[in-house]
Amino acid sequence: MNAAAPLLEVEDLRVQFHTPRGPARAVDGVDLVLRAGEVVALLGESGCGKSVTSLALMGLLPEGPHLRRGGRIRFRGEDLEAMPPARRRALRGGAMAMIFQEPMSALNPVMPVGAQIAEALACHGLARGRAARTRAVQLLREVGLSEPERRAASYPHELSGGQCQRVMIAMALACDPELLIADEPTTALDVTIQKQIMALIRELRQRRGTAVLLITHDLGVVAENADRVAVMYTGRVVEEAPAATLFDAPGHPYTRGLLESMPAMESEGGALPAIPGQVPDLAALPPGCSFAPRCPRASARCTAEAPPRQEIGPGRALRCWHPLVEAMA
Amino acid sequence: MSAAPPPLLRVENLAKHYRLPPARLFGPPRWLRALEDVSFDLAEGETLGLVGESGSGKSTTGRAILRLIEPSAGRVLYRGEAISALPPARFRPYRRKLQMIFQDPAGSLNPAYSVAELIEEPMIVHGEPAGRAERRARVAALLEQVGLDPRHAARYPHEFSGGQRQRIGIARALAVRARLIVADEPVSALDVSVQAQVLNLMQALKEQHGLSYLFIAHDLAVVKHMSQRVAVMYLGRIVEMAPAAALHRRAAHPYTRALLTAVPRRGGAGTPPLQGEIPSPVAPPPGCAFQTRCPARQALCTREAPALREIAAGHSVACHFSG
Repeated sequence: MNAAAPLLEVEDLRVQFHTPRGPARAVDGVDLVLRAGEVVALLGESGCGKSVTSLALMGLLPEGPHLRRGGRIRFRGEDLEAMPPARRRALRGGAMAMIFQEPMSALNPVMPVGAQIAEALACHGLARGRAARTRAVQLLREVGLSEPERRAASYPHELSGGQCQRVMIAMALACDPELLIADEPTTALDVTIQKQIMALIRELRQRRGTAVLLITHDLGVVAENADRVAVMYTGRVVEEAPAATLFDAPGHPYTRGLLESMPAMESEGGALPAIPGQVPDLAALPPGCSFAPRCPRASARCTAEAPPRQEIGPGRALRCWHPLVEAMA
Repeated sequence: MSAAPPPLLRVENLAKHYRLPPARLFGPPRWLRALEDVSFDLAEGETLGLVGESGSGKSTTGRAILRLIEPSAGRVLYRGEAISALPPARFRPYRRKLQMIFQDPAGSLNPAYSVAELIEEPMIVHGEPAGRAERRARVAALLEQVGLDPRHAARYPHEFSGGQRQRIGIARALAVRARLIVADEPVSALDVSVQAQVLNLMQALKEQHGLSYLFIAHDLAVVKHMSQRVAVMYLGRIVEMAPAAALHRRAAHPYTRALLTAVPRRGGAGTPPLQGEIPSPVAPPPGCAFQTRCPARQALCTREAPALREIAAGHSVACHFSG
């Protein structure tokens, strides 16, 4: 694999669920590129498709007639969909690992956490028996759990949320992944613990060169941790930009709306510039640009025609007929 | 006796202790001290923010004031009247003045009631207004006030989005002309783009109706935005109380400073996180509860719990070594 080739390439990913109200396009043509050692944030509100995207990447979407998938996902240049199931299973939890929002419910409640990590090691043929248990304790130490020997024998309910998330990260690290998908990893945690967990994820990335796909609704977490950002709205990526650029000069009215509606520590009271309305139902999206009904810049064109993805600069793309920034030549 | 009228709400040494089963058979009972010695005043028209992490006692404070749980010790005074020990029948008129908005509007609204019935219910309970037509007219007016379409009054909670359900919860509180609303994490379950709408609505209604809020949240920026004064809680106690503006610029307690730096933001990755976890409230450390995580801990902190003391006008802190 050559160094410049992306670790993960997502092309026109589509996931459609059949619901009683009609088909819902949860993911509607998402393109995404992740290079080794990079932290890319997938930012969006509930129902924007960010979690469904992550599940599709991991191959964890339920199979069945109610669900249709399309598009291509390449990991290290290999097409994941064309891969034999056994090979894909080996990748999952191996080179591609995932951590979830609710670490308590992602762990097995009736098994000591050390044994769960040892099991992951055994599954991937890395270690068994005593060697696996020793390695599990080592991993728990690496993720900053105090008294790792004692903690390894604890059950999830005996640990706090922050400690459980550390266990999840230890398990994800067991196979030295190249890509870590972190789906709202700190949303269920207190702010001081959130900061610890994000520091841990950054440290791992620095030490091991792990690429991180950070899925979150929290603009602050994105600003503090991501190199690049993809903003999602109703199943589509509406803006892609380097993190610093996104916060300095958002190009999509939705991105700007999100940024402005957050109260800042420095601000002095007053009404917040809120985005009017609410996220539309995925099974009944408005025609054209799905943000148009809430957009202060919407024109007749926006309600008639969905804007295509346009690259406006290096690493920068938008889906908007009336962007807030000019295309760079 | 001073001439100044008593504050809208005064909380004096409020405490809530839970008895837990013994750790071993026939062992001594254990106590969970969820709330310990919490005191503050809330003025008419003021918003006091209560901020803290899980287990800090911020929600317990709100619930103990409204007597959704009975406090173990301490007093709550509404306009000078001690209401925390009143028998239920005599407390009822105060329950009308003191209302609550919950974090999860879906869980706090009866799914079998229509929106009109939900908003009408508190009026029926408190017998005002007495006439059905009057009540229905008031429901329509309230829906309009909270930004919902009165034509949707016959709909059920599941037909509304999270933000709209929170608006229904607010309308319920207003239905009985509440004076003080305890808002427990009112926007933390809402999408970012909807949070601002609900915060703006709460601000506007406060002006219109001269409401006071006890605004409970874990998000420091949101609390600061909404409040005139902020109390920071840690492990059941208030560790710092200050005017909202001073809290940001002149935070005195090491925990408040840690909370401020923990708010994620650009360039924030440089500051080191606070070490350790919140200790169990069943077995808090002796001395200052924050000592196990405090970067400025000294020998005194492990022996003696610091009392809340005033370090500037309206600014109090419970720390041996700050201010």
